[in-house]
Amino acid sequence: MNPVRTFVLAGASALLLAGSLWAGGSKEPTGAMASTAPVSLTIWTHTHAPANAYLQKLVLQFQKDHPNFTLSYEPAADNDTYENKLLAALASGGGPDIFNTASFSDMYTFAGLGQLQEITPQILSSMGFSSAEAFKAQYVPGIIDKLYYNGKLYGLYREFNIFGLMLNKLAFKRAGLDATRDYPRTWDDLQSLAKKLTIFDGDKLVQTGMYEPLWNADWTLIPIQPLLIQNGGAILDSSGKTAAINQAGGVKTFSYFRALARAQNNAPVKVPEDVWARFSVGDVAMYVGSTWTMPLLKDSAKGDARFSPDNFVVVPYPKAPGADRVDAPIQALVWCVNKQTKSPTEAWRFVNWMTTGAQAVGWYNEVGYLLPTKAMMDMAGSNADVSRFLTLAKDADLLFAHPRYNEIGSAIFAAWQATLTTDDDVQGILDKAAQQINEALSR
Amino acid sequence: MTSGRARLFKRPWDVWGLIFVIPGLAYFIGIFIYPTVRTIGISFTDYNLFTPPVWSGLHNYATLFQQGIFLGSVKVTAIYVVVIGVANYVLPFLVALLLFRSRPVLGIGRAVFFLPVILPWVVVSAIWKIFYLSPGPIGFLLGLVGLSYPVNVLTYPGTALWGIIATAFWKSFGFYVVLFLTGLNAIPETYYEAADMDGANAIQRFRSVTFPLMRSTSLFIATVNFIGAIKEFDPFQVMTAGGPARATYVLTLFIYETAFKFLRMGRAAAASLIMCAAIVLVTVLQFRLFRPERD
Repeated sequence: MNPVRTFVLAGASALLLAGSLWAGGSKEPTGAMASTAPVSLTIWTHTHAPANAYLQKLVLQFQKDHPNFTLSYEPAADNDTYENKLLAALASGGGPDIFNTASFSDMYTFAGLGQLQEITPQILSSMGFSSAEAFKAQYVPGIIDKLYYNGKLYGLYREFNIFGLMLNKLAFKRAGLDATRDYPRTWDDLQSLAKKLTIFDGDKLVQTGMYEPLWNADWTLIPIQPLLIQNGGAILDSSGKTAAINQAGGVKTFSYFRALARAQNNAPVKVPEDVWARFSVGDVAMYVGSTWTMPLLKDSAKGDARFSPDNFVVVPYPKAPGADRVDAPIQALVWCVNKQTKSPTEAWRFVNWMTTGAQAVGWYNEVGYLLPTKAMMDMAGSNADVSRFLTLAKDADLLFAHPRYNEIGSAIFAAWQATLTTDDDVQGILDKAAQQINEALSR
Repeated sequence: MTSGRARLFKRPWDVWGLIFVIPGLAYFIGIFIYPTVRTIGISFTDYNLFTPPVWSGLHNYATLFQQGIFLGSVKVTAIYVVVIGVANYVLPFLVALLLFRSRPVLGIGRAVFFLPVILPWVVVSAIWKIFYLSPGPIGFLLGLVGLSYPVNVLTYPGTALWGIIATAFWKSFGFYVVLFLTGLNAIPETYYEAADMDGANAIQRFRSVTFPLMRSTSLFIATVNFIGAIKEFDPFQVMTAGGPARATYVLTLFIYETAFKFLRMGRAAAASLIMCAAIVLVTVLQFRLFRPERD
């Protein structure tokens, strides 16, 4: 069974297990593990103000409860350079003890390069878990398996963002539509709605129907992947050794998104900047979003009276005719521990503590990050927002990840841009991307 | 018989001379010689920064010339270098000539044109990225004269490179105006007086006096301009990150991504050396083209 599909089912079961092991917080180590020897750990993350503040709070709390720990938290000054800074530090044999990867794929890349400390059975044991199964029991069944590389566990989830289609009621109203009733069920619906929701005043774009992210490679797959899967396409073939993006499913998917842009008189291409600010006040009608999107929209609105959380509706991605699933994308980031750390057990002990139990719930309450823990699933019973996104998780899959993702993603992003901004033949565009992907995979 | 040491240090201050040279020499070897030699070595290996390099012979070079993304970046770089090279030679020369003949505005003109030169590239790129937004400042200014600016030029592959070229020209133009003015100032007035006595008109004065005597300045400008243009990185990274659809994906971006995003240090080193070879080749050609004539 798909581990993500079990998310919601397991959530219901979890509700029945009130007062279970994790209810009062994550499992803390006992016995030999609970050493009082001084431990000094450095933590690096990319920067996201609410996450920085919450992690700093956790750091202080953990240090208070464990006086022998000295934790030094250093959020990145700039997300654009975070990956390079991390890479340079690791390559020089230094770097932080604990860090979050800039993408899910980075965990595979760094693990493949031997830079990560695995969570060994000994570490699990010293953390108080009798077996890997006991450790995994804190999480949604099967979900931890995605964090294994060559049979070894190298990471724990930092965030697990399930994406849905997000609609702004104000923008729908401006076009004489009701977002709660007229939302798109199929991709054809999406295209015709996007056309109706795009409004120009002469040359000036007033409202974009459906935004298609053009300027950020990391966001490219979030709109593409669901339709690609529904169309029977894939980025790589089943062997994982050859590009398949230029096969029929890929061509159909990219052609659809070109048609979607053209149906809106290229509105998504014309104004690629400030999408969050425009979406927050209703100048963009439809976009993709997750649980952390609302705090971001609130910030982006900068006090504009047109913003209200009540203006937004989250619905599942559309479905292609004949498709049995929506395949909503899940964008995950991972906590890793540096192979060079002097305190691997203590590092993993801290990571495990801060991502499970009450701390996991805090990640949602204070930052908006979902984590695939049982504690989080328990929230679905009392929190409509969590429940809505967990419902989407029934039909969700992790975004494509690969140790060579940076090269593969770069080729897909260039193809995506060419598809939206030129009239070149889509098959030719994807053939070129496939050639670049095959080059990336060849050595 | 004189010992080797004695021959090397004939005078006592020779030893001190050597001692004083050592820091500079160490810096030169550490910062220039060692990285160059190491880059050459790495270009013949498969190296990902984390595991020891593995000898691969000429594979990186062969792969580069079969790789569409590399050849595409060479093409984009060539267009940029040629266009900015010609623009940064012809227009600053013309403006310098006009300013030189209009002495009262020379000081003001020089200061105005030079202002963008002192701004860091990253700042210029970020500002121009905002200028190009649609709607944005450029659209507003064009609107005042009844013209429309419906799309951001950085958004489309057909216009993005030209947007960056315009920005680069705006940034560097003043620098070359000042260099040309310095060259014009160095031409002795007596040559012009002699030309006037011979009845030369403005075009003849330019062709027979100004242009030949500006050869050294031209050589310097052409060389500095070419090397600066081929090494340009910041505006491409900040304004478009090489996009859209690799329309602004220059060689420096290719090298940067290949090394630090794709972890293919050997291939990036090979591309760097090819770029270095291109710089040497074109510079030699420029020296031949602009070599001052000897009588």
